Amino acid sequence: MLLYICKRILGMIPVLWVIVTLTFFLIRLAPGGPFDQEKHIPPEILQNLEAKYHMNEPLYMQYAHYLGMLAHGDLGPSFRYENRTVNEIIFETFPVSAKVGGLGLLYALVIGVLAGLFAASRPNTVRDYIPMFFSLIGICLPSFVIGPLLMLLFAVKLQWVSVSGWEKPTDIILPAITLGTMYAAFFARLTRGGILDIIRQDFIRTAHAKGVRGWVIMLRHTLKGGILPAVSFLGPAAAAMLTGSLVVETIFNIPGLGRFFVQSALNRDYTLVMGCVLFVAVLIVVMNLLVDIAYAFLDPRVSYE
Amino acid sequence: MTSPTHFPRDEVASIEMGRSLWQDAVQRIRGNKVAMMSLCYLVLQGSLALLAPYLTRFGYETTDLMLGATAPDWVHWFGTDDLGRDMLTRVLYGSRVSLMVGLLATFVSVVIGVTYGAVSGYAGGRVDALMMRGLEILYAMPFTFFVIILMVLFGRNIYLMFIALGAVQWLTMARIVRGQVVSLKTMEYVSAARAMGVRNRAIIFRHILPNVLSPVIIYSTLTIPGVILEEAFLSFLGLGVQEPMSSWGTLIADGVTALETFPWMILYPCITLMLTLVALNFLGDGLREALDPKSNGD
Repeated sequence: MLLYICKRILGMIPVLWVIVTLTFFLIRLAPGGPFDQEKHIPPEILQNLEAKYHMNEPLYMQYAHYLGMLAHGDLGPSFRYENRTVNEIIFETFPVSAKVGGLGLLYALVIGVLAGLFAASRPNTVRDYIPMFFSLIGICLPSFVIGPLLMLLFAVKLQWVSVSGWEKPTDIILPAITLGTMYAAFFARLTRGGILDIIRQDFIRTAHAKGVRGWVIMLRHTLKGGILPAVSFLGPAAAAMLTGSLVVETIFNIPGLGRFFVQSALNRDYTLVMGCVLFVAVLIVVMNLLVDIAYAFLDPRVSYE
Repeated sequence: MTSPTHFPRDEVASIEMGRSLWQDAVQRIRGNKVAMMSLCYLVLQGSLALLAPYLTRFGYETTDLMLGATAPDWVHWFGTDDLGRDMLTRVLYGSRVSLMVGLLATFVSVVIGVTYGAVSGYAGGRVDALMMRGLEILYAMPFTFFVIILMVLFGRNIYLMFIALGAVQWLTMARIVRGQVVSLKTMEYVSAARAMGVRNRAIIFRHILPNVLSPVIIYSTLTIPGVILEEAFLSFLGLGVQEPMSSWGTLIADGVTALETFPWMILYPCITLMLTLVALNFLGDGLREALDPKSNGD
């Protein structure tokens, strides 16, 4: 197991290298630069600026310089936010996104798995159709529709929470629900499918024949295998919540990583764009590794030895 | 001595003609009411989008500032937006863009995914291992971020959007196709065909591709709603389709800003988008059941 984890961590390095390289050259391929501001910058200042950020060197030197910085865990200075490094910006904005995303994921997991279990307990009856109908609606309702509707209902009409912003602790509720709803729907479908797959297996019938009570079978046998599809979706879901938060942060005016990312792309803030992409990529890779490890514990058929 | 596959003529004629997989599938999906209703809705939606210029009296960019935003009435069935543009017209024209993006980007993803998966699966060995490793790397990419970078840096070009969205969606398709091809090429009937001297090309086109087709069709039907959502997402952020053109995403974004004052502006684009996505999902499920009866559709 330990060996497997070490191997996977080593395997991440080429993945991240490819991502860094692709992003690096993609951004510099594009027309326009970080210092194309509306007001004209005198050529001397521009020269100094470019020298400060190594923009006057040939491309391969810039690339080598960037990789060197990365090796020290430094994502470099931001091009647009003066005197702030990308590390600082990410460490300031990510916790905000993580709070929204974490709560959203928790909500999605709890609601989704419960709805899936409920549906699977009586397949092809009304108890199955109703949650599955709602899950279909959930899958087809993008966050930018749910968000404004929730805002209209709870903030404008009922005035339970404030419309947008990031000051009060209750400000997190609507964004998290907005973010989590689509994933709750996915979790519900995956859980239902997984449970139904297991229920048809021989060992469940054997347990029934031996007179084990229904809920014991559900908890001890069915749930253990049936939850696997939902677990394997956790990694992609967690990653998607971080990127999905782009819209939610825009709608609810939350100062998180997603909003900074869109801004940094619009500003051609090269280092900040690269930093965000790399940071999210690391998160995705780590999430997937964690899910694979969890899998080994949950499913005795999987072994990484 | 004739070859062992040679039968006397009349014996062949007496064997009852079996129904092909496709005939079976058509029959099964005809019996699936939900899938057929979805198909009807999608055909209707598609034709309305295609015929949009002939269906409305209003232009999608014709503003009427004197009129301003009006609630739905007999002249403007879906009301007008704050610039006095007819919402029905804008939703119809928006569906042209959204559906076109959905179809074309999915087509791009099918072309890339099937080619990649088929080559990898059929080649096998080291090529296969290398190509699958590449796929794993791509899976770790924060693709939404990439599409945003592309759209921001290279301008909001609608053709670029097709390619960018398609290039994001092909990974799972490639995996599915590769898995199919790998298992098919070791099947006994393929070995039998090879033993009988059927040429490589004939094996690919006659025996392997038709069997890969059904998962490809199923998965593309399910990719289209994903792409449509993704386009709406980009347009919502202001990175997709530009004014005065509209897509469902831009219409919803406009609607959000006028949510409290003119709620009908968000209502109709949302309903249209949702109905289309629901119909596509039902049709995809129906196709899965029809083409792959072994799967239980969970």
